[in-house]
Amino acid sequence: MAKIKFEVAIKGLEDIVDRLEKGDLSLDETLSEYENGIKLYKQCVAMLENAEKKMQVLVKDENGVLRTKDFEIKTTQSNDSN
Amino acid sequence: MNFSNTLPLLFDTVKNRPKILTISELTRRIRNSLENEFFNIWVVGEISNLKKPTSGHVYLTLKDADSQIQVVMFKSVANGVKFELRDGMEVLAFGSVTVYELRGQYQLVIENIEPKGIGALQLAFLQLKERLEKEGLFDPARKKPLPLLPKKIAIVTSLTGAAIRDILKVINKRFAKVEIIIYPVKVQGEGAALEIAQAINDLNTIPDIDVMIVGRGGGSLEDLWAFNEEVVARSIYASKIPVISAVGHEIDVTISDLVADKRALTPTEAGELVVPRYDQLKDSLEKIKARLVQSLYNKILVIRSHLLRIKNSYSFKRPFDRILRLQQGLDEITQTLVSVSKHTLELERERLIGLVNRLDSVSPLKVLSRGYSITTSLESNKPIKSIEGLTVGKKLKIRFFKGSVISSVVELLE
Repeated sequence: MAKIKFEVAIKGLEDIVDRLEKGDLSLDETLSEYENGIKLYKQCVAMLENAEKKMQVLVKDENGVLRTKDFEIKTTQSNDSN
Repeated sequence: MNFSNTLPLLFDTVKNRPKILTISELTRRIRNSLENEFFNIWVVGEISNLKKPTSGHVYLTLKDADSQIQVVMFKSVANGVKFELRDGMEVLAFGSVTVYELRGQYQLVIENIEPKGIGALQLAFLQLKERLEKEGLFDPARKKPLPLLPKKIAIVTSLTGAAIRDILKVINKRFAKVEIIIYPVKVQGEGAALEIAQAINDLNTIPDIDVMIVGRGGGSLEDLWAFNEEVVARSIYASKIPVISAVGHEIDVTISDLVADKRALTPTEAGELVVPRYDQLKDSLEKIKARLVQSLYNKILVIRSHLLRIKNSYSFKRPFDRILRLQQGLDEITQTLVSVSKHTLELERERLIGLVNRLDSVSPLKVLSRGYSITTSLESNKPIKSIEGLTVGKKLKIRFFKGSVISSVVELLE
């Protein structure tokens, strides 16, 4: 999937809807804009659903290089979502 | 000797004294006396003649209306002073009087200094706030928007504090599908500010971090102090990653809060700000999609009704009307043409008949029909209009209305 920020995608989608709602586009333009809109919508959905939960802690080694380590911390008794 | 009287006197005086002091001895005694008498004392006064040479030691004069005293604050103490000393400032100073033997001067060496009437930290906060504000570090126009759907969130705080627990609790509650990177730091005490600032700088070198939370749970003003340090403020300001500041409770406003792109009242609120509400995002996304579909549907409706209008229009329904109308026109013109030409023909015919009649009336045959005849020369066939040239016996042709004869001249009559 192309690397595009969620807000950029959703803004693009809103812009398309705004243009379409004005209703002054030709049928051809309307159809191609609609197609673009659906594409962005699918990207947004994918971004919402494809994210994964991960928790890491950063540690600096003796050379000052940052490394990540998986990390788990207890937060009352709430369960992990995954 | 004239002096013999006076000398024993002097001698006696000296002799009665236990010891003659050198200047150094005197000075040392003054020093001991002063330093014992004025050890660990608080004084109040107004700063003047403030000097901060590069050595790091600070020199100033403390005075009131009538007196003044030289004051020195050595580097180690000066570095610990949170607020900025200024001439004219009323302060409380804690320290001891010492004597600078080399010059025979006494001075107050201070170990602690506080503004009068206001806490030192409070004043330091106000001073830094004023300075950074003037520099534009709190400018709302400089603040970066928070991402709507962050994938990677960094948290700069202590692993053992309440803040991390509160933030993670929110994230768990929302079943957020985010990557979290925790950068553990000291959040209070010596060196905390530097660690926090370093963490913010370090995180800016790691790719793909969408937003970071910098903060800690509640505590005293001293506990929160690291978040009022300039070095932290500068790091937050320089950060390319949006920073949410979440320090203490709602009532605690720190310099970090003011510089950050967003202030969270508590670490819990920071979690709420940064972790998206998936249901809400999904909801608004579905709403936009519905509008998208509806707008296409509307377009089709408009086009269809437009088509219908065209289809129902008079001209579209009866496409041959125009042709018929044209044909009709053509017929009319043709008819006119025909009638006009007929008329012309008639006129011509009448004219012709007239001409024929006129021609007829002037025809020699017509004259002949009335009993006249024409005499012509037999040779030349020319009409003979006189007797001139005629001789008796000459043969002539005479034409009647019906038929001709050849005759000959019998007699010439004059």
